[in-house]
This record gives sequence, structure tokens and C-alpha cells, in this order.
Amino acid sequence: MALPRVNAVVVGSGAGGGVVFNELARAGLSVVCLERGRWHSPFEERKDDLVNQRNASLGVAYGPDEEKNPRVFVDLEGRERVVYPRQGEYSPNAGCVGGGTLCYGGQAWRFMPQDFRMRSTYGAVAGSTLEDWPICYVDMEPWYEKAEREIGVSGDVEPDPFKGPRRNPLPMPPLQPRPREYEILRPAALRLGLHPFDTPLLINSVPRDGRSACMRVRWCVGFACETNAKNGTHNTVIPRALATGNAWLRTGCKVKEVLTDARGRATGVAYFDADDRLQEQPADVVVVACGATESARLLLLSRSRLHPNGLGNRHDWVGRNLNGHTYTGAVGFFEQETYDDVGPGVCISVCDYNHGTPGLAGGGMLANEFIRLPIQFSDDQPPGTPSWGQPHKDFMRTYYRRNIAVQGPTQDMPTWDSRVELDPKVKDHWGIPVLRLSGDRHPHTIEVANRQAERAQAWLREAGAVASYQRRAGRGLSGHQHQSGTCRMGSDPKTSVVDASGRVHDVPNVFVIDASVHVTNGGFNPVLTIFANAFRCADLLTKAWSGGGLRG
Amino acid sequence: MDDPYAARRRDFLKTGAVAAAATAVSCGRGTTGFRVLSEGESLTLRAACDQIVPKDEDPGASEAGAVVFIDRQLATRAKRDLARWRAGIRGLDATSRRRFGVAFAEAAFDEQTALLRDLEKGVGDKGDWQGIAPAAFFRLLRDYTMMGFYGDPRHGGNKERVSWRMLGVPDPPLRGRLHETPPPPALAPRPPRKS
Repeated sequence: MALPRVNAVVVGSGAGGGVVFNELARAGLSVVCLERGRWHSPFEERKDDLVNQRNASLGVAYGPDEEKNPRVFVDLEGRERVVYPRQGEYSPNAGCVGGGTLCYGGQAWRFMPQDFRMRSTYGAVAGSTLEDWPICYVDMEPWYEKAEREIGVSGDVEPDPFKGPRRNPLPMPPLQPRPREYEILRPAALRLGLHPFDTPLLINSVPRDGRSACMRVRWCVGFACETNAKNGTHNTVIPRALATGNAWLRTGCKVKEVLTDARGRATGVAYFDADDRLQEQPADVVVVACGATESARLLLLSRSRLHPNGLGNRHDWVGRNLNGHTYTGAVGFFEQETYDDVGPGVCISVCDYNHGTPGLAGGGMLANEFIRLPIQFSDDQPPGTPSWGQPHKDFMRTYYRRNIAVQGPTQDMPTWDSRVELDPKVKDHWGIPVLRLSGDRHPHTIEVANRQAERAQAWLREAGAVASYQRRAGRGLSGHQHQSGTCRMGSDPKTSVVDASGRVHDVPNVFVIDASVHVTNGGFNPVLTIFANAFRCADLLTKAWSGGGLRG
Repeated sequence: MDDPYAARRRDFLKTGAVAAAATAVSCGRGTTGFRVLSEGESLTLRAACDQIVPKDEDPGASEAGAVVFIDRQLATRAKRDLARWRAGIRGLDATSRRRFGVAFAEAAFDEQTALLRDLEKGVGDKGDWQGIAPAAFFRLLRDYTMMGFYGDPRHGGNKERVSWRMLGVPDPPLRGRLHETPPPPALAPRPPRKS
């Protein structure tokens, strides 16, 4: 039996869904948000080194449920196997209220103007579906600012000469005191002619929005914040939406498909509730915001007579162009102590290498890494050195407190064959076909990423590293937490899935609003762009709603 | 709206009751103190873990509880790997008996090291390794020992945070610690070792 009709249903409560949920509620629409995971409160956060989203050796901490959500991974040799959320090949993102924003590191980057114009800037790259966004940095600027203010960002990006124009500084100053790594890396960067500055973070450096400032523990990226100082949708826009009185969040709900009528318009969604009962939520507007892997899955699952290959998939673009980032960098070893146990760790960055290197299409930001916990460092020796026994124990004892890692996300060249699709055989707990992931990195991405590793090593050497090694790029599918690209935004329905407002080309009342729509993913952590684009698309959606065009 | 931060008292009590019952059951069974490992298996693993993280001026893996950690995982989260571990432990002992005439735990330290180096490289007699490949078992052994030594104490390893103390990493702060608060002096880092 169908539930009472609402104006809009939002599937997913992460960076995209959480923002849209609140914006629609504030505009007066009745909105239901369906989230597959549950709430996690700061008071139950247990800082478990082996059970979190960064090191999931014994399991993920915030979902998705290990046994209920398998996937199929196809390796470069074409061998298939079933994978689970604790495994890297799964490309997991947290499945909980807030999604990845509950437990991310929270780097709050604006893309640079060139990042929206990759094709125009660098021309076609053979073997890549590289393209421009249908919007540009200027369209995004006000929404970046809104995201920085409404979610909450600290840092100081004023010294970065490469950034796009901005009207206002970040709303909070950098975290103080700065970690020891900052003092070691900054003079070295200046000597190299680079332009270092305080990494923007979605972390309170001062009490804000009724919550405390960061207490600087080493358990940050991959963990929910136990003092609630990390800003995500779960502690900002979602509570605000619920406070409007016309918004409802239902947890433990697994959406099965978007329902459509004989005219091809969406009528709502069908989902399994927390007790696995099939429910139907009718709505005038459906917003899909499940992250780049699951959003594509939901569109592909929503088949009907008018949409035989799934929604928005008339030209086979849904699920294509999956890319995250190719992380490379270097680790340097020092005679002096570099460790001071002052979290989150990442504090200094440079954007000198994002664009403008002759012969390379793009690049990426470089920054020092989050604190690596002892168990993480135990897997992190220079290539060729023993990974066990007395030499390994000596290595741990000598260098745990005497090393710095510098790394960054290289902007991937999207490829047509890096994709998610529905697996023909394997089903999840609810009997729904699971995702099947396959594909490879573009060779040029590897070339750029390896150049970044050399640059990171040069920075560490200048900073006094007595030994160092590069973490270089390897082949294989790119995805993971920074997953994007599977429902590309564009103005031509033949070469994209949604238009510039996030609306699916061939379904007037279904929107995709998350990183799925990113045409390219920048040389940066993408979350602030997801937030900003969600604010922008929600604004267009509410305007269209007021015009009456979206009402069934 | 629901209060997202409301403690779920009933869930908490339920979990507590189940945990208490589970403890009672496991205490009443066997004499090894392990949940799934036999005494023989635990002795083999003990020696193997101490190869991965040997004892020196700081505790080694077994003293830090790595075997307890592995046993606990094999009884819970890693249940589906139990048969592979058992096959690997059998393989370790069989190879040792053939090469050195004694079970792995009885072999000399350097003999054990040499055997594990071979496994790491994937070298092992086919007859000894049924149910798991030598390199795959070595990987499990190495990774789980690291987790049992450097991981979180709540899982049965890293007893009293020995590895964190060894590295000079402060104890987890109580909520509300200020970053200015220095770590206790007992945890001050060691000077670098001459190698």
C-alpha cells in the first residue's frame, strides 16, 4: 500500500542528498529522505583502529552492512569475484546518515576555473571521454561560498595565487596550533618557489553552530568525530531540515527502484524499510543522491516500457566514466621528530601543480597526509624493505615518529570503459541485482600522477628528509570515496545523463544530485563541489517547483 | 524529529546481557582459554606470531596478545577464514617436521625464520599445503599479527597498548583532553636506535 504522497523524495543523505533535503524543506516542500544506514551519534564513537572507513581490516564502522551488500569486481584479467565493503575493490562509501560526510577527512576544496574546462584547456585526450562541464567556476562561486558558510570550513586559502576569484574569506581561521609538520614543510616549499597555505577543512577551529572546536586527536579521517567538531550533513543541514516540520528522514531504507507511469514520468520510489517490508513512497519529484556507484545502480534498476535500459540510459551513458582520484606522493624519513600527535594531520598544501605543466593534462593538489595510526604505518615501508621480523620492528620504532607523507589526488582522465553495471547473477540481501565494477585507469592519468610523486619527493627532500621513497601510480579501476562521473552532466542528451540542473534528460521530474554528475573530478577532494552543486541544483529545482512545471 | 543522539538504553542492556551469556558459555568450555584454537594450534601460532614481531627489549607479538586476537577474530568476524587458518597451521607444522624433524614451535628460531621466508616467497611442498597456498597463509599470518600487535587493544591484542607505548604514541585521550596537555612522562619517546 502506498504511503501518503509528498512533494519530493530524496534518496540518500550524504553530501548531495543532505543539502537538497534541507533546501527543499526550507522552500516549503514536503520532503522525505530515505537513507539505507542509520544515525551514528558522537557519544557512541569508539575510535577503533581496525574498524573504521580508512582502515577496515576487521570491517567498516558506518556501513554499508557487510553481509547484505556484496558487489562483483572484475579485475584487469577479466576475473570476477564477489567483494565486501571492507575491501578496497568494493569502492565503498559510508552507508549512514550523513554518508561519507560523517567520517571523511573533510578537506574543503573549491575546484579551479580550469577544472570545469578541461577539454577546452587541454584538448581531446586519446582514449578519454574528457569534456567540459556545462557550467563554469563563476556559476559555482556563490554556491561554494554558501557551502563554506552553511556547512562550516576553517583554513586560510588567501595565499594561494592559483585559486579562482572569491568574494569572501573562509568563515573560520585555521586550526591552532599548527602541527610540527607544517613548520617543517612550509619553509621548504617557499625555498622551492611554491605557494603553501593552510588546508581548508570542514572542521571547526572555533566553537560554531552550537558545537565545539576540534580537540586534535589522531583518529580523524575515517572516523566520526566524537566531539562533533567535524561538519557533515548529519550535524548541519539534516537537523535543520528536520526542524522545518515538513521533512522526514527514514533510516534503514533500501530503495529498490524509481517508479514511473505510462507517460514516463516518475511517480515515486519503491523501497524496503528497516523491517524489510516493501513500501511505496509517491512523490512529485525524485532526487537520486546515493553516490556515484549507487546512484547509477538505481537508475539502471528503474526499468519500464519507456525506459527499457533504465532511466536516463537511452544512449548507454549511465554507469560509464567512473573515476575517483589517483593518489600518489612520497614518504620522507627524518632525523628529527616529526610526530606530535596533533590531529587531524593534514595542514599544509600547494596548488602549484594543478595546472600548467607543459605536456600534462592537469595535475593535482599536494598536501601532507592525515596522521597514520600505527597499524596503518605498519603497512607503509619503503619498497624492498622487510615487512616483518626484527628489521620491521626496528623500522617502526625508529621512524613512526620521524616521517612525513606528502600526497595528492591527481585528476583522472575519464574513460568510457571504467564503469558500474548490474551484475546478471549476484543479488543483495533484498534480492536486488548488485553492482559489477570494471575498468582501468587512463595511461595519461598514471603519467601525471607519477610526476606528482616526484614533486612530493622533491618537497620532502628540501625539507630535510634523509631518505624517501615515492608512492607511484598503478593500473586498476579508480573509484573509492571520491567516486564520480557515472551520470554525467551535459547539454547534449546523446552524450550525457542529466542537464546542467541535474535533471535526467528523458525524465522531467527525476534529478541526480551528487558526484555522479561530475564531468571531471578536479585535482582535489570533491566534497565541497558536491555540496556547492547540490545548493545550486536545489535552487534551480525549487524555482522550477514554484513555476509549477514539476507537479504531476 | 527523533533525537539522533538519544542513547539506546534498551539496546545497550540487551547487548550487555548477550555478552555476559556468551562469556559464561565460553568459560565453561575447554581448558585452553581460546575460543576456537586447540592448544596445539595456539602453540604453533604463538611461535609464528613471534617471528612476525619478535620479542626484544619490547614485548613480542604473543606477549602482546596476538594469538588471543587471532583466536577471537576466527570465532567472530573472520569465521569464514577458520578452515584456511587451520590448513595453514597444519602446513606449517608438516613442513617443519619434514625439514627439521620437529613441530614448528619446537624448531630453532632461525629455522622458523627461514621457513617463513620461503612461505612468503610462495615456496612450500604441495603435499604440506592443502586448503591454502603458502603465500596466502603467510599474508594472513603477517597481517593479523600486525593487527594483534599494533591494532586496537579492545580486540584482544596490543595488551595494555604495549606497541603504542613502544612507539611513544600517547594513550587515547579522555574526551575533553586539551591538545596542550603533554603525554605522561612514562610514554616519552625513545631515542632512535642505532641500526
